Amino acid sequence: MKRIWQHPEEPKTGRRYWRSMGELEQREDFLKNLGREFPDGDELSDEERENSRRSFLKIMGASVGMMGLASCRRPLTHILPFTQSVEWMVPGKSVYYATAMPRPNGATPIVVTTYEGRPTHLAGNPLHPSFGGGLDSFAQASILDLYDPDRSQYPTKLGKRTGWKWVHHIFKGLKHKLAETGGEGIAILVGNEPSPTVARLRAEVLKKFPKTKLFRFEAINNDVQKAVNASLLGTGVQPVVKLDAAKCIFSLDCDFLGLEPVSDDSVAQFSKHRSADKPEDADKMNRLYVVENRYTLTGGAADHRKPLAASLLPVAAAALAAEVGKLSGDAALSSAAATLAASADAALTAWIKPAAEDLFHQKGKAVVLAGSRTDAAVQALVVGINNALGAYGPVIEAYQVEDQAAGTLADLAEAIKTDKIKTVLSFTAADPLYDAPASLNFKKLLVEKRTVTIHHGVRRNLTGRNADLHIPATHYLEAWGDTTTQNGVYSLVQPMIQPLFGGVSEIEVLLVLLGKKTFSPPETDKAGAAAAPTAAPAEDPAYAAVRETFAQVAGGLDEVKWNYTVRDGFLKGTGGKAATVTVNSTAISGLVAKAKPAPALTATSPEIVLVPDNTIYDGRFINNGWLQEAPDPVSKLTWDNAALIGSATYKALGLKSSMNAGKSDGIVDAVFGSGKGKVGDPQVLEGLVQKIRITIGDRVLEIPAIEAPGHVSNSITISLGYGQDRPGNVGNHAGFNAYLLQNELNEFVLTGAKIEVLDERYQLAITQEHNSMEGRSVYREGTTETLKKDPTFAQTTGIDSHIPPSMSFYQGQFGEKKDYNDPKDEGFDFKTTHQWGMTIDLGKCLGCNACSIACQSENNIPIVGKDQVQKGRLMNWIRMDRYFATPEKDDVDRHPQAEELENVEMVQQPVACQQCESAPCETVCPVNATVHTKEGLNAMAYNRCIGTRYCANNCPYTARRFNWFDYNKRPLDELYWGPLSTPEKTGMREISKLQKNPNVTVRMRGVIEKCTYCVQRLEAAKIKQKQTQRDSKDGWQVPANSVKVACQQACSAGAIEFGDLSNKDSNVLKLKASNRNYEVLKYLNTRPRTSYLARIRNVNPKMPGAASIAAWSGKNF
Amino acid sequence: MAATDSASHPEPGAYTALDREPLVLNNRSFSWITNRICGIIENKQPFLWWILFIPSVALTGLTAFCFTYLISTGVGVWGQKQPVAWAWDITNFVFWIGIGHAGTLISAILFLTRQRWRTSVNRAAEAMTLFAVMCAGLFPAFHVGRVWMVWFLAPIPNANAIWQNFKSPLLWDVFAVSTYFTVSVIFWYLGLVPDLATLRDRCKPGVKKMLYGMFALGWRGANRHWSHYETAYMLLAALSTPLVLSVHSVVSFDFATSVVPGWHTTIFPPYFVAGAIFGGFAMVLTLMIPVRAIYGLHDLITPKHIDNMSKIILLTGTIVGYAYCMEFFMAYYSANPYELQTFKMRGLYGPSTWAYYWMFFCNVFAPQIFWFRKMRTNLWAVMIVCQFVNAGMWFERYVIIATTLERHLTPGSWRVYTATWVDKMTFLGTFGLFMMLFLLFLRFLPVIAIGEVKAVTPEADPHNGDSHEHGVQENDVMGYEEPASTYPGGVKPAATPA
Repeated sequence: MKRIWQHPEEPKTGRRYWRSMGELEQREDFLKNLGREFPDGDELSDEERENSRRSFLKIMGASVGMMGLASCRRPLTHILPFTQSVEWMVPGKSVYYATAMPRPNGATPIVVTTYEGRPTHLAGNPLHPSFGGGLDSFAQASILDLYDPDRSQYPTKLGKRTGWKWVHHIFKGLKHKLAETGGEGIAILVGNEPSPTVARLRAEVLKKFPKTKLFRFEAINNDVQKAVNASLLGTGVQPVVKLDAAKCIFSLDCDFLGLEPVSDDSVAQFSKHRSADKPEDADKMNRLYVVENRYTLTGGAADHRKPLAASLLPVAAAALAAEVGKLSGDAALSSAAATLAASADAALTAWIKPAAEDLFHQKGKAVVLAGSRTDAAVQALVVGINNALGAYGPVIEAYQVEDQAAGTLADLAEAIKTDKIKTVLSFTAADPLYDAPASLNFKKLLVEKRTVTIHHGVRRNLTGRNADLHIPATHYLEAWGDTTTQNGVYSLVQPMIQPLFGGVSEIEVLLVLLGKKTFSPPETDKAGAAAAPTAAPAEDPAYAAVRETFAQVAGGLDEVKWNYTVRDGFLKGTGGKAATVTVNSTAISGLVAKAKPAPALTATSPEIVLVPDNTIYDGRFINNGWLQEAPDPVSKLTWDNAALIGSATYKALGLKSSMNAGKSDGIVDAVFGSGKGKVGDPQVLEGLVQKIRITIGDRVLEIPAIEAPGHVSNSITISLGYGQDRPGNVGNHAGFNAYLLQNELNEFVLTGAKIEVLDERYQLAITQEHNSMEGRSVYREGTTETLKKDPTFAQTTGIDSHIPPSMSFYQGQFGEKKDYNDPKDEGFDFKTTHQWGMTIDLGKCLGCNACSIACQSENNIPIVGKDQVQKGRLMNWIRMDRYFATPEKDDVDRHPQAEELENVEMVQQPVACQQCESAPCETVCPVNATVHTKEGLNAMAYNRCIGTRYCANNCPYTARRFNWFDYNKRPLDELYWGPLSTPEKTGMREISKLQKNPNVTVRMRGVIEKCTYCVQRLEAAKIKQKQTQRDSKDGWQVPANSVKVACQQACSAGAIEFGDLSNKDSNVLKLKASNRNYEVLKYLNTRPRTSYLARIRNVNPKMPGAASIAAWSGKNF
Repeated sequence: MAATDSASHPEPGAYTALDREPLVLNNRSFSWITNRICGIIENKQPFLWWILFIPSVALTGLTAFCFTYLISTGVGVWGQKQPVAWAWDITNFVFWIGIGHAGTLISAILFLTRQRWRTSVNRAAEAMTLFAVMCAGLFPAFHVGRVWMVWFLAPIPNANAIWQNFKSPLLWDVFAVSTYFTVSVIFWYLGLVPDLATLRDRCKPGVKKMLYGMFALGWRGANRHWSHYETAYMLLAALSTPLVLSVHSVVSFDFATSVVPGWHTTIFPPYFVAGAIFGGFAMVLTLMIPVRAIYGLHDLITPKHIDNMSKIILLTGTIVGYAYCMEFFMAYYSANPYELQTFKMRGLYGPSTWAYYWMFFCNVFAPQIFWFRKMRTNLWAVMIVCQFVNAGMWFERYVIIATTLERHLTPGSWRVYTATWVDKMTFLGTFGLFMMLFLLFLRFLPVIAIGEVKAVTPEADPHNGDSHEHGVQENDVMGYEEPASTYPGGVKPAATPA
């Protein structure tokens, strides 16, 4: 058989040589004959052809072949090695590129790790002026979307596969129509992701076809906030909070450390002043007050937190405004808030008052933040308060942004209804057919009005499947583009890889509309994985368009500047145009007057609060396995959403609690089954929970309900984004669609709901069964008061204060070697070897999962599926233990009451392998598969491991993970099928292989795995060091703080510090010397290399209940 | 039976109070013993044998199926999870290993301490030991994630040049169990040699005779043979004795040397050994009482044997009960709150307290009825208590392994264990394997050591008949006719010369 070599395309530059005129002109007859073995004419006669040996064999072969499966043969392709290697590319060595992820809240700068042209891992860009170098879990996990096999791979026509020819055809028609009518009846629906080039091209389209209408829609947005800011601060003024300048922060349901960043890197800025090692540092700490209805990450980090129904937020805002107005003498503010503030109950006022005083005390360094989805009254009052506190300027920066005027989705629906719009061209990342509010009836409208819809997106979501034409979009790692951060820094988006499944970017579609590009050539369609046109960058119109924008931003196309920007990922010196803020305080009272009156809430008629999901946001990440399996930081729920209900309401509704399930009442239970004293339900413990039916008007949702400690009574929180129709293999059957309850656009707090408890149960996969620490001091915290009284409290908690000295004859290998000449001294060599160690600052850690996802991406950790999570087989190497604590002493024989659980405190503790110097796992492994290195790592030899799991039993931190099945190889729904699993589905998908880090083993079933301190990174750093030092004997040591492990790199808060303990300049060494440094389960004498820094809470002693904050920690043993 | 006033004028056939109860009743002759024991093998098996054998084979197949499924699919087909990485697998292992204790204890320790009553039960008990160890060995071998790499446990040269980790109790286990098994097989086989010769001599020429002959190693019953035999037997008994204690001590080290509260306990080795003897004797009784009834061995396995074994169960059960209480006391006395919480959750507040109460009832309370002689001689009562003990010992291991791991050191990882059908079927299947092997043993090998049991008959006593107090005349014995119903199959075997 003749091999068809796939030569790389010849560069089109330089001198060209040709064999014939045909080649020079690329004539059709020449191209046709190019791959042929014999030229035309040199052929057999007809007779010869019929009777030849060859034709005989051909017929015989065909008849044999047709009986078999000859046609199923895999297409053969031959990969040729580079004759001239690509610059910088060394197989197995990573190359880093800077880019940025465009997001509705503004860009996130990213550094992409690539191996042989495959992006494998994302990290924050530490060079970026407004980012600390961390990267949140959504951005981390977005790399998996690039390799999602369920991603949109080809254009579709009403959900059915079609070719690029059809796209070309439709766009030809569309362009014709645009030119003819000037865009009459055509709507462009866009999302919130900022991009200067897209904005520029959009403006050009609108200019060229002036009757085209622009609409904007994102299911989760801050439209209300924008509108209030526009009316109070001025049009186009975007406030960005400098959290590091704030000493006192008051959040009214603003999850700024989670899903609603108020600045480019809120977490990094907030964490800057979050730890105090010495009593005198305590005053430098910032203080956070949070009012919210459910626990968020922000609530968890708060110094004082007040659970309050979401519909009472205007009252709380008013109470605060009244108080601040009174203190600052801002009569306008006080009077605007007076009526609402009067309805606040005594407990709320008592809580608000000292907080307001504290805020005012820190005037100029205090800020109040309102959740982006709270209603206009709250927003307006907060603007007033911030103005009274003098926050504008010192704490809140304002930028003038040019927002293209666009209608809302409601406007679009209205326009379609009135036949003003006939064609919709949708670019938004939202999925209007799925997430549009009920009152718009969007799906029905499109069908009734026979609106032509063209959808452009990475996912073939509901809108895409129902569209007349769906065009696959490129992932942001596949195409040229640009974007800006919240504070307006211009950032470039550069492709890391050719589009894997074809696809075009938004820029390219707009260029087609402008006639600067066409969808061609259509011939490639036949090949299956149809490729959209791709060309060398120099000719790429999208590239040219981005450069044009760059030239505008940079003031001229300076190649040097361009190259620096491509290298750094952003253009230095750019930023938003600062705006001077003058608060139109007279308008506040008008907005406040419109506040909805607080309804009377009961257990059976509570408020329903709709929130974006902590793991899949508005639903766009539903098919992302890493995020889907990442436990919700608060509820620890994976693969589904549920109605979160506070303990008291949960009990009032007659639902069975899981809080004390598994805490049996002893002999009564044992002998008589479920005894009368039993609080918990073992079924609930297994994740089998009862469903409730929520009815609001004619909108009904049946959803499983779980008990949420720290959640306010008579309020139910449901996260959005779940329950989508066939989003892909990961997201199918995941969760329940809460958008169904939403009636109006931007309605996130629903009242008038009716709750019924159903008999039906639903299986949830919750990663943490036990919520209480049971008095064990694995997590330690104290207040600033504790720190002043007892600076070393963290090291003397409970049992740690009286651990007897180790009396073992067998000293083992731990601690620093004392006598370097004594061969019997088995201690660690701190003089000529690196000694790795880690600290985790619990004062900074929020529990956001970023480290966990980063680890998953770096270390090739598979997802295991809902069923396996439910069975307790999550593979995460670094897990987040979330505990709730009440001020009372915690023990196994005490059941906290439902009422206590409303005001419960929440703490988050990341746990990975602690790399014990005296590791219990190592001594018990019969085959020496887990051993200690000279550098203090607890190493795993996967190919030596036989899987006795003894190490997992003997690990006090439960840090070891076992491959119960071939998670990497078997399809997740066929794990139990053994050798009978579908052959074509078995084995890792080619596309998934691309994401794997080549320097980390992909583990097979039957072996234990665990955190390795990213040993591959350490080795790479050591090799690099050896190369630079050559023969020098002194330079063995990797420079201090130069190597970062994946979790550390991802942590925006800077909670994780890692480094060489033998290097005196290491940050980790300094932190280990802190008063707050403690080792978990120290009494076991495992001598872990990972230690924790206790959390310090900056408590305001005047606040009600201040004395009981973090009091539980002192009672632990 | 005994009457004090008849001491000076004993009736023929009656015993005085000071006399030891005879170990073989009714003054059976040598030939009767040979005929009766060999008859079990030589005659057709009763219908009941087949009723038991066929399901046993089926259950063995079930275990084979379950292990095949496990190996081809992954350990995940069992119910283990984090942090319960061991559950039924190791529970079953320890359970079976425990059962495998009574055999060697009876054959070795009781031999060395001249407990002559052991002769009637030692053969079956040793066989039981071997079969139980076989069942036990399956679990640690197959519970590993990559069973095809299990040879890494053996210290054989390999390309990686990596040695085993001799600090690991799991490796000690491998050595302890394999040594125990090897020595037990040799000990058992050595004891079988004279009996195999008897069977050989009674066979018609053929394959059977050839096989028995081959395994009888040319035994002729010569004085030199007996002399060598007895020396070897004594030496092996001396070798096995420490093994009885070491195996289960080593098994207990799997737990005792760990850092897990509830496992890390110095009481484990003696407690495990006592428990193993306890469970082992219960299993011996469970097997021997039906065998005695089915094959008419009432004169060889007498109420005295059952009584003795019941007493051992009572003693060891009480030791185990003491250990349970002492664990609680130590948890309190150690002032280690982790330890205390573990025990609080085991017995009072944990998710699996039911297992703890079952364990306590079965192992500590149930055997207490053996304080009463009436209960010790009531076979139904003995059988019922033995079943409680068998179950209780399984629960004990479950409590130690699964419920301890369910409540590990970091509460955030706590999870409750639930077994899957594969767990249950695998375990059930090993009972089939055990029964199948035991039934085959009954079918092909003498269930009682013929040579040894003869030594405890009055006939074997050189002073037999010297004392009038022993009363019974040879003639009386010879004249006694056994009812046909006591023979296997209800047919009296044809008399064959011994």
